[in-house]
Amino acid sequence: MTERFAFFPGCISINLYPSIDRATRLVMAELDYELVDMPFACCPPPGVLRSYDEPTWTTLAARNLAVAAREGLPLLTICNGCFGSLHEASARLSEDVELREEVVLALREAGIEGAAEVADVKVLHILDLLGTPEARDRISDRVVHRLGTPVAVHYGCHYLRPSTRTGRDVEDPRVLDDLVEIAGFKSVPFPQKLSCCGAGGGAWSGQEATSLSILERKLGEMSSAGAEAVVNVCPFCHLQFDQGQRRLGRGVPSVPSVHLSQLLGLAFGMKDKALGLHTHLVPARGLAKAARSARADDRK
Amino acid sequence: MAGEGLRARIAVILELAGVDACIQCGRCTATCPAALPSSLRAREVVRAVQDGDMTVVTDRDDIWHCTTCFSCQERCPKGVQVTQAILWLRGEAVALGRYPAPHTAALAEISRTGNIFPLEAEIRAVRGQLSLPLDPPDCAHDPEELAAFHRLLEVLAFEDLAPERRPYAGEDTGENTGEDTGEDTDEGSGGGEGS
Repeated sequence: MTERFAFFPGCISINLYPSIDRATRLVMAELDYELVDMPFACCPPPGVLRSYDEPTWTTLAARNLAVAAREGLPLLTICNGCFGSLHEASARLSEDVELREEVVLALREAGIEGAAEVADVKVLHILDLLGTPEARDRISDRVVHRLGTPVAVHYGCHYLRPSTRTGRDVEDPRVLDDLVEIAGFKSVPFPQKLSCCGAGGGAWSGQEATSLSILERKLGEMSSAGAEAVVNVCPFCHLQFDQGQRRLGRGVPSVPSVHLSQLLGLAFGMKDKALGLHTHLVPARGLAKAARSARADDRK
Repeated sequence: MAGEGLRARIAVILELAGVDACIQCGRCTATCPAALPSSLRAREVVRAVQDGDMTVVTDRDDIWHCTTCFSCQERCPKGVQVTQAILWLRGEAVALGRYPAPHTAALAEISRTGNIFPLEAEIRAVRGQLSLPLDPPDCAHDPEELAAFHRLLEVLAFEDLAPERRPYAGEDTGENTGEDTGEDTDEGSGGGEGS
């Protein structure tokens, strides 16, 4: 039976990078997972809003959990920021009865359906799903082009940390590297691989110089390692990599960014334009070219 | 405003975050991606508030350079919740009107559409090119859901989340994009464009 998920694309993928929204839908359909659209709002941001007021942040996250609860489905995110907010909120609502009662009261007062079940919704990051042995097998079965392109893998912060909450291996994670290699690409090692892209915590909008300086260092490390693209699992990291390279201007090594779903789509033989690679500010031309050439070879 | 109330609240923050266990080893600063390009020194922030120096909250913007990457918290050998402490200290700074100027626009956007990043016409067209519905099936495009969302914001008194912003002394005006903070600023923000 096809597994179903309440799909939480996040505001960056729907409103800034629809290429990621589209690629995820195409790839998940190919893998026989059903994504159910629901009227979600902002996760809300784990940097800006959480800094301002945690109860407000938790309650707005809980509204999304209430929405997912209406269908009784696990909530699937494709963004570290969304995961960070929703997963943390979900954990707090489960363990803190007093907090849960306050939050449910606020949701009910506003007439939000599903309020009673906010603590019952399972929050998954796309790597939680695609990293399972079953999903890895499905991916492996669907790969038609092993392009072999060297890429830098970027896990991002809120997928990994804090481990006290996520329970993940935060010093040597392999799940994304493994998926990239199953899909036929080469994950290159580089220093500070697990460090931040520089966008989070409200720094992207509030502290541009700091944010871009962190990015510039990362791009340099990736480029020196021979990466032709950076693979992310977070549209906010993607935004930082893509727009940030433009903000930094000339003289910065070009490392185009793609979301994991886009990379998988290429490996599955989907057209780079269908996956929206051309809509990025810094299009991954190398990847697109390799994919086109593989498709052309198929037709010979 | 940096009186006894603030001191008492910060004492609670320090206790909840386990800051008493800090041995000032500096691993937090060593692992911090923002330490190199900015004035943020997690170890010094922790020490300052422990010593009763509240200026990191009341007068300085160092804590706003944190990207909340949680590396410091993850690697603290004494289990201090460093990132969480910084997030809570920010909350106290916000209550004093100390926050980055561009955040005002970000919060206003959540209040308007439910999303921190709104859908602009140009991207709406890209959605169409990619065979996606022009309007995403989100809260912003569901009138009943959006009305309920706005009621929730009222319940939460979202409009009162942050008092009017008080610019930091000597804010860098070099790269100011002229973000409207709703105040008659005589100096600009130190940040980039709004969200």
